[in-house]
Amino acid sequence: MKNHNDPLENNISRLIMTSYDKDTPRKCFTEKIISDALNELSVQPPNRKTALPPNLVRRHHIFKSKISQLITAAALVVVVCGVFVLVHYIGIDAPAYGFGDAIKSLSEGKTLCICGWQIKDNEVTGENNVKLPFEHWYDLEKGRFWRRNAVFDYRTDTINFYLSVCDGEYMMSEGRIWYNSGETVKTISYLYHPDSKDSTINWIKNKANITRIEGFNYIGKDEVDGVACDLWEGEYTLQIADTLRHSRTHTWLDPRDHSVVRTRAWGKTDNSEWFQASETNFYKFDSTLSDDLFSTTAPEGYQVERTKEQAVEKHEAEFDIYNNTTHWPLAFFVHKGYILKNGAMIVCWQSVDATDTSPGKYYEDLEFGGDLPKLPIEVYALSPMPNARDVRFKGYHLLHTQKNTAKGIRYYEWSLFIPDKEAPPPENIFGYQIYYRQNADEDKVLDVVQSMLSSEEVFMVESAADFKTIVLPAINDLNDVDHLIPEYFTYENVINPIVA
Amino acid sequence: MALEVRKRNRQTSANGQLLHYFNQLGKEPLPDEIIEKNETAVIIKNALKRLNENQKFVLEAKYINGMTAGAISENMKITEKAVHSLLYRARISLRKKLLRLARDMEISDHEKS
Repeated sequence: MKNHNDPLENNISRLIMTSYDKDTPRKCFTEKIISDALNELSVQPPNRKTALPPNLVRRHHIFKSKISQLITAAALVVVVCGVFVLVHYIGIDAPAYGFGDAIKSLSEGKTLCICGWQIKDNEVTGENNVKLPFEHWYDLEKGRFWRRNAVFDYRTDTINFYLSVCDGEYMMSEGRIWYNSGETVKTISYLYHPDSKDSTINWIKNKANITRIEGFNYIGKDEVDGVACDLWEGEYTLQIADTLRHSRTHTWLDPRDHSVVRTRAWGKTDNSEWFQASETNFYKFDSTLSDDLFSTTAPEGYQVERTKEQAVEKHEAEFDIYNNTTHWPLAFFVHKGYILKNGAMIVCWQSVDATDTSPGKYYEDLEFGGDLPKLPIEVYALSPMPNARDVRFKGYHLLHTQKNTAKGIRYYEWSLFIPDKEAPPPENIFGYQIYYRQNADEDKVLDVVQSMLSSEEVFMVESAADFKTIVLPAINDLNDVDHLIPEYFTYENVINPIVA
Repeated sequence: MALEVRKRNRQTSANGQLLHYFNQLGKEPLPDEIIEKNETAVIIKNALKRLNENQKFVLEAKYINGMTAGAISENMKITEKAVHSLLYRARISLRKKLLRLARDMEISDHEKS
C-alpha cells in the first residue's frame, strides 16, 4: 500500500520535480505522438475503410498471388462509414454458435492480419491517453509471424516501433540500447522458438478477447464492412495490486463464418469514467504470405546482441528476466501448463536461489504424487482468472528435469495441479493466478514476481497420443539426464493420480 | 583576512545546511527554501546521474512524467510489485547519493577555503 505520509517519498518527489521544473518544462506530447505514430504505421485503426487499403497497397509484394490478393482486398474493403449502429433487441435469441467457433474460424485461414491500437496505460483515467498502434501478420500454417508494435519511450516522450519476426524456429526481436551519452543503438537478438505455431494460435485467442467470455451477453446486431455482425458485450473486473480494474469488451462476430471481425475494449477504475482502451480489427486471408516477410536475417544497421547460434529458448530468456542474480538472488518462473482431459494440469516451473551452491538438493526424496519440493520459492497453487477465483488447483510433485545451459545447470519442476472443483477451460479465462510462498531466508528479497500463467502458455492434452506428442517432447527439451523421467510417468498414471 | 573567514563560513554553512537537511530526508518534510535552492537542483541532478539506469529511469518516470506504477511496469516489462520495490530502492539510493554529494561539497568547500 502506498504510504502518502512517507517523508522520504514526499521529499524525494518534491526535490526531483522542483529540480526538473527549473529547466525542463513538462512536455505535452499526446496529439503529436499519436499523429506521428499513425503516420508512421499508415494504419487508421478505428475505421476499416481507411485502415485496410494502405496496408494492402504497401504489402502487394508479400502475397504470392496478386489475383487472390485483389479478390481478398475487394471482399474486405467494403463500405463502412464508421457509424456505430448498436441495436438493442430486448429478448432477442442469441445466435446458435459460440466464441469457440469464432476462434476456430479465424485459425482456419492461411493468413491473419490483426491491427489496431491500445492505450499505453490501462490504469490512467482516460485523459491524454497515448494510443499505441500495432500491426501483426500471421502465417497460421507454419506458425510464422511478423509483428510491429509501438512502444512508448518515456526517456524521450516518443513512440518507437519494434519488430518481432518468427520464421517458425527462430524469433528475431528488435531492441534498443540507450547510452548515457545519449547515443541509441538498435539491436537484434534471437530466441529459439520451435513451438511458435501453438503459441501463435493461443496468442490469437487472447488477442481476440475470446478468452474473456464468461459473463458475455449477446446484445444485438451491428454493421461492420456492410455485414450485420453479431455483437457481444462482456464485463469483468481484475484486481491488480490494490487497484480494481473494470473492463468492458465488445466483440463483433461475422455470422457467415462466425469469425471475429473486431473487438473494442473500455476500461475504468473506481475513480475514473469509462474510457476506450483498445480497438482490434481482424482480417482473414486465404492467400499465403511470401517467405521474405518472415526472414530472420538481421537488417543492416543493427547490432546483433545474441546470434542464432547463441539463441536461447524463449522460456529460458523469459526466466532470465526474473532471475537477475546481481541484486536479487531469488527467482521463480512458471513456464507452461498442459490441461488434461480430467481438468488437472501438468505445470513446468522453476525456482532458484542464485547464492545456493547445491540447488539439486531440493529434489532428493520426493515422491511421484507427493509434496512439492521446498524450492526457494514454492508455487503451491493456481487459480483461474478472472471469474473463477474460488477454484483452486493444488500442486503435487511429478518429476524434475535438469539441463546444462549457457548459464549452468538449470532444474525444472514438473508438478500436477489438481482443481478442487470444476474449472473453466483455458479458452474461457485469462490465465491462472499463481500462489507462491517463500521457503528461503526472509532476508533474501524476491523482487520480480510473475503473477499469472497466461492462457497462451497453456495447452490442451486430451489423449495418450497428445501426451506423447506434446508433453513428453516438452519434458525432453528441458532434460539431458536419462534417469530423471521415470517409466511410470505415463498418461494413465497422470490422468488417474494417486496423490500422497 | 576577515573577508576570507566570512566567505569560508558562509560556504560551509550553505552546504552544511544541505547536509543537515538531507540527513532528515526520511524524517520530516524539507523546508520550501531548501527545495527551491539552485544548489539543491544541481545536487539532485548529479545524484540522479550517479544512480544505475533502472533506478534513474523509474524515479524520473514516476516524479517527472507522473507515470503510474502500471505504466512503468509495462514499459520496463516488470511487475508492478517490482516497480514499487525498485522505487523504494531508488529512493534509498538517491538519499545516500545526496548525502555523499552534500558531504563532498562541504569538504571541498573546506579545502578550497
